[in-house]
Amino acid sequence: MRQNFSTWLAIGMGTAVLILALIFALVQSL
Amino acid sequence: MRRNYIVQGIFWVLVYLVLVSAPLLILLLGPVPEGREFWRELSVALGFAGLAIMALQFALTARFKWLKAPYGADIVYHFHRQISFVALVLILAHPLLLFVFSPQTLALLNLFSAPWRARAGVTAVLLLLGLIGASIWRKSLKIEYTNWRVWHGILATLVIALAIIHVVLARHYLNTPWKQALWVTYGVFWVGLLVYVRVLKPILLLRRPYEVESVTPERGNAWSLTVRPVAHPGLKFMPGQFAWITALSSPFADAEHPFSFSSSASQPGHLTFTIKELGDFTRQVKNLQPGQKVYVDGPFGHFSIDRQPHAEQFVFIAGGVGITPTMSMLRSMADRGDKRPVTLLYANKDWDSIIFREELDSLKNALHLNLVHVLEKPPAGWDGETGFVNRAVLERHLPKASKRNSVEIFICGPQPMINAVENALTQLGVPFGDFHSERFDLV
Repeated sequence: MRQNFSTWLAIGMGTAVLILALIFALVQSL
Repeated sequence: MRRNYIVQGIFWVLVYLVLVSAPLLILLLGPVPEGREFWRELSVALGFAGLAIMALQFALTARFKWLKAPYGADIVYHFHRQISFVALVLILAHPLLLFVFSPQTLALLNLFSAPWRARAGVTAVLLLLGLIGASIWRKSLKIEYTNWRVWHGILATLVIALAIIHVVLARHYLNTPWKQALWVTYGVFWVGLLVYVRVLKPILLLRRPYEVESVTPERGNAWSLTVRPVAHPGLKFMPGQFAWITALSSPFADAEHPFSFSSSASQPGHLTFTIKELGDFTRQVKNLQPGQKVYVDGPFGHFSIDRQPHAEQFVFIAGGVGITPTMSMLRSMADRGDKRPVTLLYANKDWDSIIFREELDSLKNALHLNLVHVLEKPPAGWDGETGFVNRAVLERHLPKASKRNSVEIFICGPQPMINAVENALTQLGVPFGDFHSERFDLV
């Protein structure tokens, strides 16, 4: 249960970083 | 206190997000190199993001008390584990995107002909796969914990060093001196963390040694190791917390093991750890002799009644050697004259292996304690609870909470037991914040 918190936190962080990487790539490739 | 921890918890999550994002954001500032196609830029961005996460892994395991206090050490270690999979996916996506959209880059996999930047990158990824594989399958590969720990540190350092060499040699986003300075700063930060963990911390531990006072056998193949500080006042801890113990080797050997205190927090001059014979190190505890040097790094952990001062009563659910932090809390309550009602659901295989069986019985005199044994293999004529701590057992023995936070529940034992009890408590409608668990099995 408590470990679900860290799993979701990791998934959340990964998603945030992925979105940032996509923005980075978009900005750079335009 | 709880609100304080929530604020601290959110703060560190935001700091983490900023530190992970910082390299990408900073690389976009100032003059940037000419853009290339989307997939190539995405590949590079994922590589940088993966590297930033990997580098922060050192901070998560550097045992900063202020970082672990809001969550508990088990959650920080579990996050360290889970986020490593995220980093692995990002890092693997970096070359895979290149291979798919620029198939000629596949030639970079040939370490004999590839340029040094590719050699460093490919080696870093291979080592990373080895590092994560050894952590996931440590037990099935029969890698001893101590060896695994040493190699985990060495491989992690090599991965980061090779990845930085890869970035520096690729040069593409290091087109200004201050961007180069950014990566140098990151490098210094990581080296600083390593120096702190591997050099400064051991020196501090060496200056505050403990010596073995006694090693006494307990039921259930466990031993109680009591140590006392040598020429220093020792440490204060909250009952239920744990410390990292180094015995039979130097603090520089990186051979520490986490154990819960089982002694009362009211007697900090005598620290007791009750340790069950389970693995390579725990089997040697009984061989420790009075007077031998031991090093204690702690206290750590969130698992304590002292963090729930508002509670009107407590429930402890322990399985086997998971009784140790509970014992520390019960002994501390007895020493403090704390008469708040306590229910202890204590699960064991059989009657003879119940650690602290006699002392728990006598604690009923000092505490307002309802002791419920749950036995997997009960003796003939047993009329108590049998099997495992399940929903039915909990329904029979959990006190009714007058309001939220009035009954605080502490669970410690084997992983499957904790998962089952947490699920059962949720089904019974116990609020998430009212139960707390401590997991021993981190790796």
